[in-house]
Amino acid sequence: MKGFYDILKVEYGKCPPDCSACQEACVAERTGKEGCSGITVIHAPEVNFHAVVKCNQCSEPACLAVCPTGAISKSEDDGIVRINDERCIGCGLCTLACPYGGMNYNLDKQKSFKCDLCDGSPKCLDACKYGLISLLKSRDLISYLHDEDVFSPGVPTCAGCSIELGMRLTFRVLGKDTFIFSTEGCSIYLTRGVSTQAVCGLPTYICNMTNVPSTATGVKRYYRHIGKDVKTVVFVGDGSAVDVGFQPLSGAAERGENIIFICCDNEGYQATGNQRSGSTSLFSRTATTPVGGKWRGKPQSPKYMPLIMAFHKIPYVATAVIGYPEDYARKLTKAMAVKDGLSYIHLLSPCPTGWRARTEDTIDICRLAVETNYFPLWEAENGKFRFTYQVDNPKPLQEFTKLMGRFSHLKEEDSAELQQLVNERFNLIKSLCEIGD
Amino acid sequence: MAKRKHLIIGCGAAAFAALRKIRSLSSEDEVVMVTKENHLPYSLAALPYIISGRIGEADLWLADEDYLKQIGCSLLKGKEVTEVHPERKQVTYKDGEQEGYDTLLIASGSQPTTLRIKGLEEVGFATFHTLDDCQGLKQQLTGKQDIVIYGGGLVAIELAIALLEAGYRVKLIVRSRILRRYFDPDAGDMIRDILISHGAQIYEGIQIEEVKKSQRRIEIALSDGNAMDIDIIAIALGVKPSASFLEGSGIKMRDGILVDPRMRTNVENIYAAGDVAESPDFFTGNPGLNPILPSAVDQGTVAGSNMSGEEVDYEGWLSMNILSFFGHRALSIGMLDGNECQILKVSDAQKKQYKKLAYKDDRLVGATFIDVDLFPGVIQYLIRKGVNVGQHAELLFQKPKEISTWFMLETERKETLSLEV
Repeated sequence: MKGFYDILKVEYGKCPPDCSACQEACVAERTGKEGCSGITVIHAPEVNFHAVVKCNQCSEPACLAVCPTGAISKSEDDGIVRINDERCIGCGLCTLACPYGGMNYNLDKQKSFKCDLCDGSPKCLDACKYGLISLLKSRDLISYLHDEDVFSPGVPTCAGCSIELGMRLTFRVLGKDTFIFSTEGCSIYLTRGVSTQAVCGLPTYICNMTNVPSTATGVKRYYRHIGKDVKTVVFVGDGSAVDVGFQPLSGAAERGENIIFICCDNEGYQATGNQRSGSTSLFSRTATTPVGGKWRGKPQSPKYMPLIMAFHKIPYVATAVIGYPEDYARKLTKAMAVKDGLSYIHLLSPCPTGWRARTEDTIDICRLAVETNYFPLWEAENGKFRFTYQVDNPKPLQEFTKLMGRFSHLKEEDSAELQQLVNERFNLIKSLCEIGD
Repeated sequence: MAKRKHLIIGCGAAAFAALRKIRSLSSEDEVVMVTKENHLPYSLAALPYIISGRIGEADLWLADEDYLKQIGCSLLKGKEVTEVHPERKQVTYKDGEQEGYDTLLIASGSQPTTLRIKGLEEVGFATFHTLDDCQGLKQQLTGKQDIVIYGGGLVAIELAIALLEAGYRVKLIVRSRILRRYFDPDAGDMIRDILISHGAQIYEGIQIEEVKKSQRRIEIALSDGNAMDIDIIAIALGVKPSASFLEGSGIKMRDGILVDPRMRTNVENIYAAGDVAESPDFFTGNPGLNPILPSAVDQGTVAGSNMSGEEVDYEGWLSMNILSFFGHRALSIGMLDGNECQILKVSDAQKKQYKKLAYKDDRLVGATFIDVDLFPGVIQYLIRKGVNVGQHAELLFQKPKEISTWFMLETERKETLSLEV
């Protein structure tokens, strides 16, 4: 797949003092000149900092743009940024343009010099005795993507919406022979392209909020009846799954319908103007749980839907965020494999508009939700619970809440109460995971 | 969005950067590039290396016909724009033809400034700005030995280095001192001494009074009363925007075309970038000229984005220069001096080493280095990001490579909120 290249990954700031094995290996292999290698060791004992810098093989390299002879190019095949030595005039402008310390200068030859990944088998990799250097093969990371994106460009979601990312990824993993059952909510902007010409390449049916799983049940059963294995996927928001459409979901789970149910949880009725839902976090400011006077956001704790579904004793339950796409993709793959009951994935979907966050912070919010234990990533396969992403040192919850205006009013004691709620929830899941061990 | 037509006047670094950006953002729009020269896109900064012989002319082009065809750009060579008519979205060429546009980018670059010197016109002189100039000079050089370069700016010095490398005898006559805009007197002297040690003769603080023909050579009279006999005189006294064709168009000009941070002129759908544009200074935001390659590339890229409908603001230009010569490297970036700046400086002519850092409110605002091993781009990063170097200023001065890289990496890490470290 074009655009997915291998990249040299170096563990940040973990180098031992005085080691420069990678640089020496590079010099030996490439230039033979001390101090002129594609990877540069930085030792600053004064600030206790030991690391390496190297070329990031940028997608839009600053060095390439500034080169006055066009000597620098980025290969479309392997993504490596290379210097054509014949054309390099040694002006050094590329060393001035690269902000990341990826461009070196060979004074003897009067030419610029940089890492070219040794054309695919970097020598520095073997030289590092500490295993801090690895070659990330991004092609492997996306091997779960089977099909074309089924949604056209130009969907009318808000800027920074995580649902668009989530839906595009979901159906690239699930692939063909899939029916989408959707309802009022933000996902409808993709499935129906409200007020635009956006189209969805899969058969889609828009149900009432209260009967999505029932409708999916009927279609699934029909196709089973005529002997066809199709994937019936319910993709709805938390308003439908957690609140008004909960009964049919609970019923379908209990009956053991073979449906993939994805709850795209943006913690509220965001499409209609940010009203609170049963999934909205404690203290979250919404249109119906304002801040001011006696109000300080939502006074109630949210339902924790993934556990509620897990106790329906269905074959597969998982939580996911778009900030960890490989994790989510693995879970979708497992959900697809389930043939004897309902599988449920709870996809936390930050909503910059409703959550009052900067549009560029969506992925950070996703990741911090996980790293603060606000939204742990776990799965339960046939009743066996397990964390799919271990957080060794959870960050304080404020790291997550400070990114969102919906929590900007939190006082010290509110934060503490929310932190306690998060801890309790995490400990409960943890104890469930320990049962499985 | 409906298909649009972008017209780019010029085909230098800014124009080419804009073309590349437009193509990376919109595949459908039509792009027409028009240049009064008869060449493919090239960068002026590469020309000295043709004189020195490090590259041939074939290696000069930033793009060939095939590439332009492949990315869907029509290049009109040898066409000079003489008028711009914003009211009907058209330009007029010298031959009377008209060309319409939806958005127009003026990246017509600069031209050498001239000076009236007695006898100069009659005797003839070389300029060194375009490829045609370069080819002309190269022809003139055959069989010649002694070249005088009048000027001490970047072009003059680069040309001097190239001629020295090619084995010519070079005399630099500089009205004040060399590279005044980029280096303070101590650093300038150090660079001068290196050039002298490689054969250059440099006369600072002197003007040429008169130029005369003497048999087959040229005789020049200097303001200090001396005279010299030489073969060629090359004038490199700086550049000025070439925008005379905009007269009467209603586009606001001072020395260059005034643009806002989106590279827009005062006239809708008309942009300007590169040597011709007066764009915001990084520190003050005030418009000014900064005719150097990195600024042209940045400005062209920003203009290309905005022309394609993606709104991007230009960070502003920094004065900067990197000189790689005879195994030495001199770097200057940002402010040299200035009010309220703290300066750390060491200048060791013996060891040929020079370091200078300028701070303002704990933030690096300028740096000059000669023969110091470091990443120039990382220094630029620290200035542009306004990284607070605070208590480590002295350390940064002592170990610029390590500490600047540390600051850069830490800043990058903090910007990626959720890196697991």
